[in-house]
Parts: sequence; C-alpha cells; structure tokens
Amino acid sequence: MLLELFHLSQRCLARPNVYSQRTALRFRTLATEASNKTTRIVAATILNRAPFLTPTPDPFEQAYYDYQARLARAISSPLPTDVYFKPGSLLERRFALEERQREKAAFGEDFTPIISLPVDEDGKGGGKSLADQLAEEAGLEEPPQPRIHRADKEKDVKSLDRAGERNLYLLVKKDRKANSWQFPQGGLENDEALHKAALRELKEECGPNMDVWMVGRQPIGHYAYEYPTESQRDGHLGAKVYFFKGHILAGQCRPDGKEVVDFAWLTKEEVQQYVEPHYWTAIKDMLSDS
Amino acid sequence: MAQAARKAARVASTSVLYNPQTYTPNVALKLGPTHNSRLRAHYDTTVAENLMYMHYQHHDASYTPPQPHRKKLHPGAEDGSNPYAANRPPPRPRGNKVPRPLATNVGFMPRPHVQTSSSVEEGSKDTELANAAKRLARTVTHLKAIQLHIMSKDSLTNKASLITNMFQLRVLSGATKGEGGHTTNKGVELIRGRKNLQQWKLRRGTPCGVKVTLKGDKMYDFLGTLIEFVLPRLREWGGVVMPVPSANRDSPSMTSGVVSFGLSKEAVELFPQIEVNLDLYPRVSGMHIHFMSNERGRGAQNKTRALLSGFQIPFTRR
Repeated sequence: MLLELFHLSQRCLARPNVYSQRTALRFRTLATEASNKTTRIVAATILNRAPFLTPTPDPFEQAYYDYQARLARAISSPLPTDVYFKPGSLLERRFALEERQREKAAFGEDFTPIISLPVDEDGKGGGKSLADQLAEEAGLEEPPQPRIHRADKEKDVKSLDRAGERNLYLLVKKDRKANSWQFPQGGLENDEALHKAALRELKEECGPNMDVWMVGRQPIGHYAYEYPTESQRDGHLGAKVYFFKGHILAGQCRPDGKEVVDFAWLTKEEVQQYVEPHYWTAIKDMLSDS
Repeated sequence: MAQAARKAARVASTSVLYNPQTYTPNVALKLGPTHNSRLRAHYDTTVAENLMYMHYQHHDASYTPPQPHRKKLHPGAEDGSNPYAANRPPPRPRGNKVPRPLATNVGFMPRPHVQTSSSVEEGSKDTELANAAKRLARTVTHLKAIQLHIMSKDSLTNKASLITNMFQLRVLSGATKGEGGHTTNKGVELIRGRKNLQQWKLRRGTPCGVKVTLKGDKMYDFLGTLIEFVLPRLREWGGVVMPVPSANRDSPSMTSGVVSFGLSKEAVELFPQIEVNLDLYPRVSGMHIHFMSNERGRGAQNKTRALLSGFQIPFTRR
C-alpha cells in the first residue's frame, strides 16, 4: 500500500507538464505557487480520520497469537513472588489467584499449577474470601467500550466514531447534479501557495470548527482533466487538482449549507460508491486500504 | 581431585533437585509475537504514510545520488604491484573531518521497471513490486530500538549498588537474556568504563552503569507505557528540549538518527510497574532513554523527532 502511495506522489511531482512554460513558478522552501491562464489550478484536501482501534486479527492470526502466548507461558520460569511481594500480603494472594485463573484460561480446567501459593479461597477467617473480593472489584470496574460503536449500527456516516479500525475520509456534497460528491476543494486566489489554498478552502467549505493538521506542504497526488466544451468558463480549458493530505484532530465538519449541503466520513470502498467513476480512477490510489 | 569430585557432586545435585523457581525447560523454541502491538499498528496505518510524504525529496531524472564514501587505497594496491600495500589496511583519510554517513533519502528510490507486456511473467512482476515495497519500508523513518541506560556514580565506590539499577531496568523492560529462545535478546547489560578518567574517578574496566536494549513488540509496549502513564503526569515539563537552530548539523549526534532524553527519579516512579509496589524500590534512579531510528546523515535527528512526534512525544524549543 505504502508503495502505491509513494509512486503516485512521485508521479504527481515528476510530471514535466505540470508547470507549463507560461506558468509563473516560485519555490518557497517546499511550497509551490502557480498561476495559469488556460488551466484552472485547484487545491483539494483529503482529510483523514486515522484508525483508533487495532485491526481485528483474523481467526488464523488469533490462533497463532494464542498458541505463542501459551508457549511463552509454558516455558517461562515462574515469578519469584518472595522478591516482589511481602509474604502473606494481599498483593501476593491476589497475584496467586489471578495467576491461577490465567493458567486455567491458557491450559484448561484440569491444569493444576506446580507451585502452591497461599490462596485463601474459602474465606476461613469469617470475612469474605479473596475470590469474592476480586469478583466484587471486577463488577466495579468500568467495562471496556465495544469495538462496534453505535454509529456503526445506525450507519451514521457523519459520525467520527464509526469504523474505528479504518481510515475515514471526508467527502462534501455540493448543490449540483453532476460531480456533487468530492473532496473539499477550490481554486487558487491570486498568487496563493497551493497548500495554503487547500487549507483555506477546507475552512470555507467545512467551517472553522475543526482542528486540522496538514501533512507537509507537498501534494500527494493530482488529477488533470479538460472541461467539456459547453461548460468552459473564464477562458479555462481544463483544471488541475492537487490533493493535500490532512488529519482531523478534533471538532467536526459543519458546512454552512450554501456552497456545501452535506458531508460524510467514508472508508475507501464507500468513497467509490459516492463519487463519479472518472473521479474515483483519479483518487483511488491516494486512499489507504486499511 | 577433590575439586573435581565437588564439581561432579554439584552437577549431580543440580540435575536431580528440581526447583520450580529457577527451572527453565531445555527446549529449542523461538517464540513469535503474542499479540498485535497497538503502537506498531498505529505506525503501519498512519505514521509511516505521513513520514513518507513529509520526508520525500523530489529529484528529477538527471539526479545522481551521492556515492557512499569509499576508502582510498594505497597506490598499486588493487593490481598487487605495490608490495608495501600487501596485507596493509588502507591509509587513514586526510584532513580532520570524519566522513559523515549519507542521508537516507525517501525521494531517491528508482521506480521498479514494470513491463506490461504479456511476455513478462506475472510472478516476476509481483516479486519486483514486493521487493520495491520492502525497500521503501526500509527507507521510511522507523524505530529500530529503544535503549534505557543508567549511569551510576555510586557504583564507582560500591559495585553492589548496581544491582538495584539492574532490578529497575529489568522491571521496566521485562527483558531477560536469551528470552524467547532468541540469542539476540541480551537482557540487562553491565556497562564498564572504557577510559581512565581521573576527574570522574573512573577507571578502565570498572562497572559504572547498566543498560537494556528493547526491540520489536517489547519496544512498542515500553513506548506505550511511557507516553500514556508517565509523560502526561510529569509536572512542569514542557517536552523534550531541542538543540538550538545554530547547532552544528553535521555533529555525530545530529547525524546518527538517535533522540535521547533523561527521566528524573520522580518520573521513573510513575511507571506503573514501579508505582504499584513502590515500597519495594527504595533506591529508584533516573535514567536516559535513547530512541534509535534507521535514519543516518544530515537531518537524521530531526526526522527521528518527527517520528517520535507521531507517537505523541512532545518537543519544545529552548
């Protein structure tokens, strides 16, 4: 995957006809600044919500991990409890009990540990047994959040909590018939730098209510196309769209409802269903499979 | 004779007596990963891609990469016409500047020549792409190892004090020698003085510190503990201080791809492994942490910092 992204980015920056002879071109550190009379230069942002869950291992992978964990447990030498715990302390007994539970979980009910440690399971002293205490404490602990969020069940594509294992990308919908779903994008103003234009357009279309971090100042891919003859405007024959990658760190997209009427956070496969086929061909390699 | 007999008796007694606390089964196993490391997954899905974009340097077709420094040989050494050069090492480079390693460069990776014609077998194309992917993964900044290091002044007068330091590192890292059947796992190692230094009362060969090198899943687990339990709870700490902008860019520390910082005693006590049983550790000492990346050459340390920022380690200016 990384390699495909790399080649795309390399191709985007290597194209000799990206900057034509008439293009006024200046390099500031890494930023490019371009203006072209015949081609409209457009900057777009591929805004990404990074995965926040580890990928679920497939059954074979999980079986392998379990097997290795059992092996590791079987050949490891036991913890010298007299070093780490005061003899007879609550910590020691708790550890012994938990360790016994772990052994049972790994090797089955019939397994009896070689070492017998002072485990007060019966509660001889009249009070509660340690096992009861532990069970009570386990009830008090906050259970872990489920891996599948409510937004997944409700198929809420606007939620940032959905599909925690996947990369999500922000698509916005413009109020028009064709090419309505796209990444936030817009044309350059005057002598603006490309990466600044991308960020400005993102703020204009999605509102200021987002904390965004842009990955570098170089475009990660580009898409050049010609306008159909009937829809040429301002003397532009076509457009070149430069895509920049960004991450959302906080906040949410809040379009004003005028230029942009809707938005969605989508995985790569879902993006394909929303956008036009020609647009998909141009952008598909910039999106992460994971 | 008596000595041999004693030795035989000792061997016999150890083979008969079974002590569950010290017993390790004599099996030739090499353990694999036991879980899917969370930070490794974070690196694979997010950080690697971003670093590739950030550190990419574009070169046009006419670009020729700088060649690695080659040792200059004695004249006539190659064809053997100079008997002086026989079995002699090459001469030392002239001048007082040590050649620095070349910078690793994400931009310079020749595209694999993939032919689309049907004459080329599908398999070889896949292999070529797979090799290119591996090459790229090696070039993008990644973490190779984390080293924890304690230098103890007390140990110069009292060698036994190093035991507590070893214990501390052992608890923090969970690393043991030859762990999981991997001979490369060295566990906690003793550091001995390399030079005689009068002002520090250090003599060559004297034990003066301990260190442990973490790699793979253990490394990511330690990093996770550090950034989630320790760094957020440090008081009045703005982040790791970076060198001033005017610092020499070609110094060994800037070109070796290592980022280091120290943790005080109070910070080390925040590690959950120690915090849960603080009474057991009467003499916790501060330590250095070295993050080693694959980067070399000019800009290597900055690239490594970018990598560590991806794992939420904060950096500040002086």
